[in-house]
Amino acid sequence: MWISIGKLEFKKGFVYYFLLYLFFFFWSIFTLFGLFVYKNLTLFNKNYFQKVGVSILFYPKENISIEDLKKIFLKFNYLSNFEIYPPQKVYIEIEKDLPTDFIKDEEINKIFPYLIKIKLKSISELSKLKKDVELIQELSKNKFEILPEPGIKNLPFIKYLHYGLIIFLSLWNLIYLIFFIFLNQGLNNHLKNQIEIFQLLGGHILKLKLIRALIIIIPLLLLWMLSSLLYYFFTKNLIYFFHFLNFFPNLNNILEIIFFVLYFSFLILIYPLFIVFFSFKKI
Amino acid sequence: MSLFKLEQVSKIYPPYYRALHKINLEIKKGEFLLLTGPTGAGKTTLLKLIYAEEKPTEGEIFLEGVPYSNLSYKDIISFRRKIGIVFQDHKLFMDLSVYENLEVALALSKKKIKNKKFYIYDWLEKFGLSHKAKKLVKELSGGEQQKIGLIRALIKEPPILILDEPTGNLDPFSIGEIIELLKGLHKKGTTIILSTHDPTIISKKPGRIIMLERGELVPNVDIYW
Repeated sequence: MWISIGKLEFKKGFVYYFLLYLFFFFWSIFTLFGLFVYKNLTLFNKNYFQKVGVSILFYPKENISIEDLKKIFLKFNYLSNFEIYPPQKVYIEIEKDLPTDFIKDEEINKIFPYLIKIKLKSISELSKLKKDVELIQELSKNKFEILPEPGIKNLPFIKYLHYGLIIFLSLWNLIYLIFFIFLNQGLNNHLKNQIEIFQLLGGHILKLKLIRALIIIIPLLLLWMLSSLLYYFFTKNLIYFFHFLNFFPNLNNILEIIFFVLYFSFLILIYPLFIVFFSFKKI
Repeated sequence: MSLFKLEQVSKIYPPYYRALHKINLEIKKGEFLLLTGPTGAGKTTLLKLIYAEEKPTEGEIFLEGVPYSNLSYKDIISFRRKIGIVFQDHKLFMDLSVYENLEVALALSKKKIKNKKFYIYDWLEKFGLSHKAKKLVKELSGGEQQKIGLIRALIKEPPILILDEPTGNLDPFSIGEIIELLKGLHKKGTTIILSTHDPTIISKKPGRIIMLERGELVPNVDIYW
């Protein structure tokens, strides 16, 4: 009985099921790539745009050579690089903005500080730098001034990216749900007669729901695996050529894994079960 | 106690079509009831109300004293399992084979059969259709489909049979055979409710005859025959 009714359901509703499978396959691939792009944009932003270019002004009380300063800063392993500009160079850079004859050459060393331009490995290292600079200041009695604007740069649209992801996922889910409900409704209308006959012969609607749920969930699960495999191979190749890219989900990141599992549980199990179980008409 | 009891039952299909009007009817267990009347009189609607495909707009139907309105979906499904229904429009699974149609009906009835295949073929043989077992129902003629509908109702050997115009596409010889078969089942205690306007069947008076006209029961119908 199960096989006969399942065969009938699949045979008569083939076009609807086929459309659903096709839609889901491309939808799933697109979703995976969407998440991949999102993850890499945020990482790209973090790794390349948020590298802090910190400027420190150094006012020596005693004469100190550039070499001495270099020795100090070389000890900070969280710096990606740094450059030290002596007062003369600082003066040259801003000279055009100053009134002419304002400063005499011999006064430059007294008035202008050394400028230390630093690139941090990441934004999170800024607090370490501040602490270290304070410590040096206390120990050496020299004055260091970290310029208040650390110069963090973001991708121009990065602050919208998180909202974008939420909107994208919500809309994307909505499209999936609407398409699913639409197809399921079409299927119910198309198979109206057989649903009625089944119940008139004493068949419980729950059996039809189970049959439909199985016809939907098993192929969706297989298609999800197929789309995930395709996504995996494609992105792995992409990462091979562009090393800076990262795979989603990161198997070492429990949050990403939970998100991944939850998201696809909704797509493959919860939505289909919910839609199928509340859509049949009892007679 | 009556098996079915209809009290002041009316059925109106929105907006204005009144299919049945204040029907009072009792059907006893083991009775052979012949329901007749012209086309559009409400025969099919009355049967649909009995096997709970439709709900009455007014009034109440009782199954062994229990009002239908008190029956849950599960109760109704369980009740349908115990009855055999022959539908006017056959209601067969057109894209399944004859054998599969009967197999589904048998499985749903939960009747325990030792050799299911043999049992189904045996029933088909009684109607001379065993050679069509593997054919899709949609490939059969109207008369053959009607016979399959009848076999599907009979195969579970139900205590109640509801038949809506079961002989519409059949030849007189087959009709005679079916009447004899139904009479035999009635003798064994099966309750039979048969709707027909076929004079051949009515003239044989296999049981109590009631007549519907424009949705109402016609009193003293025996004077017609």
